[in-house]
Amino acid sequence: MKKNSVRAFGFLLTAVSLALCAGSKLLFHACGPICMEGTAGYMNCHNAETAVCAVGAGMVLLSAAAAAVEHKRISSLLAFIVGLGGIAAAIIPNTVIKLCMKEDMTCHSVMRPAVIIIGALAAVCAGVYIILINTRSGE
Amino acid sequence: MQLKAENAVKEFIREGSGTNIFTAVAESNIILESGQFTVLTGRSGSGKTTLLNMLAGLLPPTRGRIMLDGTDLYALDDKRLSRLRNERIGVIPQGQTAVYSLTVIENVLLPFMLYKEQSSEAEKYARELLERLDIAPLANVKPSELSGGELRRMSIARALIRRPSVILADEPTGDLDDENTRAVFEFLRRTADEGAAVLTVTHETDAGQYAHRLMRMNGGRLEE
Amino acid sequence: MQSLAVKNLKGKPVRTAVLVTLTALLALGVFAGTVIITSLRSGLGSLEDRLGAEIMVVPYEAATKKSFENIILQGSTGYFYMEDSLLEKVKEREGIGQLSVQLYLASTSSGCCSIPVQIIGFDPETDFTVQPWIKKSSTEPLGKLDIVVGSDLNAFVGDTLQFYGVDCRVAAKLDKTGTSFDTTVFTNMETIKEMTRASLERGLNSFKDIDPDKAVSCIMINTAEGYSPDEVLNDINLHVKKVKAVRTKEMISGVSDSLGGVSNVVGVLIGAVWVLGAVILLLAFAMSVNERKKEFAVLRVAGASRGKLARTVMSEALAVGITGSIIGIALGLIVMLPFAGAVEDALAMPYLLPPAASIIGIACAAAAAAIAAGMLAAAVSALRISRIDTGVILRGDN
Repeated sequence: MKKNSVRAFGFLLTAVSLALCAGSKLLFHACGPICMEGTAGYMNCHNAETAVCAVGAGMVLLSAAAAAVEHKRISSLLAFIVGLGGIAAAIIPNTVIKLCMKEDMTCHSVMRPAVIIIGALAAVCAGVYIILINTRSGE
Repeated sequence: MQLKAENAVKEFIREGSGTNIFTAVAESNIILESGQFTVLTGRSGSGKTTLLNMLAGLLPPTRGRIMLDGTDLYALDDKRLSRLRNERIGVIPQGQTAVYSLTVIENVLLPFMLYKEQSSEAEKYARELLERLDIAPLANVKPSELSGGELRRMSIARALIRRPSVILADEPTGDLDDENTRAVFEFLRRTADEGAAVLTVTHETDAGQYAHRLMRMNGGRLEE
Repeated sequence: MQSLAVKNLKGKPVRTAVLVTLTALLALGVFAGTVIITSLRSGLGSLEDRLGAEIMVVPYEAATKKSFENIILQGSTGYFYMEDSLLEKVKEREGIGQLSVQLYLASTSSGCCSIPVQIIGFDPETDFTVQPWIKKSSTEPLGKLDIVVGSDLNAFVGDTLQFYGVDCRVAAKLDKTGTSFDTTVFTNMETIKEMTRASLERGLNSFKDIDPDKAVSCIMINTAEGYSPDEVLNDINLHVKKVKAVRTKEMISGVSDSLGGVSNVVGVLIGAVWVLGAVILLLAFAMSVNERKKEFAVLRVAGASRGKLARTVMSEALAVGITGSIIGIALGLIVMLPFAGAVEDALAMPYLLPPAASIIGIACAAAAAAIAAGMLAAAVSALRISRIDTGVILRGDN
């Protein structure tokens, strides 16, 4: 039976994944439909934003499953994939999908650092959760 | 070992009454010796606790001296007096006293902890005391979970952990039931029999049956 | 066995968390505020350095419509031109020491980039403002169709960017300046003239009648010895029509004043945060010590000296201070460094983060300020508790 503290950490991982998914669209998104100097239209940075959101959505589902599942190994595996997802999300902006030309635009100044920090945080949380599952909960 | 008060007087200036001096303890002489259990009774406000605090090195007398084996306690600086109290005088204060962030056994080992002198022997003796006082299962519990009687017994263990030559107990059975009251007095009597000089200040009228010597405080005056 | 101070803190986790949070906020406020002030000052200094010339001469309309100022100070993109006959008239004026011309162009949002970028062409033979700065990143002379990009452009050495159908090679990337030049492309006259010709051919240039070989956007001037910049400036404005000479110093004095204002406000806020934090910590420690008076009396009874009681309180304050400072500084680093671009956008002023060593120094100073606030606050309570009347306290509830 998973201890309450371990389960709580699992839900923390889900919360961080949700922050990445929802945040990429609501809080630290690439610039809106009208970017600097009145230039309208869908740009490459919006592809990066959508990709991060999609990866985040996947992380939410997997981390919720990891928190709910009792089996240590399955739970660990799911958490590991979430961790990988966090790292993947962190490298999407500008490395996998190139962002806008000017680095003073929102995609560089807000979206990229926020995604890197939260993606890294998700990876760290996933690592801690895997350790907790395997050391604290009995089966 | 001898702890004595020589012509000790304690006067207070009553607040708001100008030069109105209140004499809590009139000129008092008392000698506490090893192996002796002394009970000091008296009404509330008669000066018993004031005298005890002076003997404990916690309250300097207005006049007179408190001597421990020839050393005038109040001639020492606070640092040396505190160290002496830590090593040689065990005080069981009034009321329910504990450091609530420490467990029961940590509370008992507090005199060692203050001077970073914890050791396995000290811990072993602490557990022995808890055993003798019948609170051994509570060693790792926090004081907030203890009853009044259990807290008092913890205080007793703390006072005894350094194997002091003097034990001063202020109302050690204050809010205890008859059974616990009896247990505490028996314990203090045994401690005196083992060589300590024990002074207990109490309201309990039955306390005298455990004592080698019974004294009374009346209006700040000590009566044998 | 852990020290008594640590055990006291662990024994009351909520109270400790509040004290740590207060200290963290204090450290964060001092750190972030100081980084902002330092970065604004660095940015202004950088802007002064980058402009390089004492006087800049631009077409009259560009000065009156503020197009020129917007490009230099606000980072917007634009271009304007004057005939080179005006250049000859300026050259005739007395007191001119160094003189070099620049040509401006802006890219469109198609081609290389998702957004228009400013392009500035300079004359390699006479330039004294751009090349010294470029030389810090690359000593190779710019070849044909070579460009140098500012640090905030998402391009790297060896990349190819296209402007109006002209493929250009990124020869160097400049260091960050915290100014609009970070999003500027620099190139030699040969290359920018080719781009300008291409823009005219495509009908994408607002100035349909210009001849790129005879057009100039800006004339950069340093005065000769024995002449004051104001003298030369007045002379040009008086005798050369259709142009406006501006003092670089005046142009940035507005920025400097705004920056001074912002710095003062931030400085006052830092001071207010520290004082408020110290006062709240003082009250928090006073309350914490007051509710533990009986415990301190027990310590006295057990043999703690008055100094030991005071040291216990101060140790608690130190532990709280160190923990809170570490958390506050960590948060500050997470906000101020990765999000420096967002802070720069919000302030809309030249903003250049100081070097790593300075940031470490600021972090240490902020931590020290936070710890000092806690220790001072606790000192008051430590002094009070060292003077307690043990007997009175223990008798308190009987």
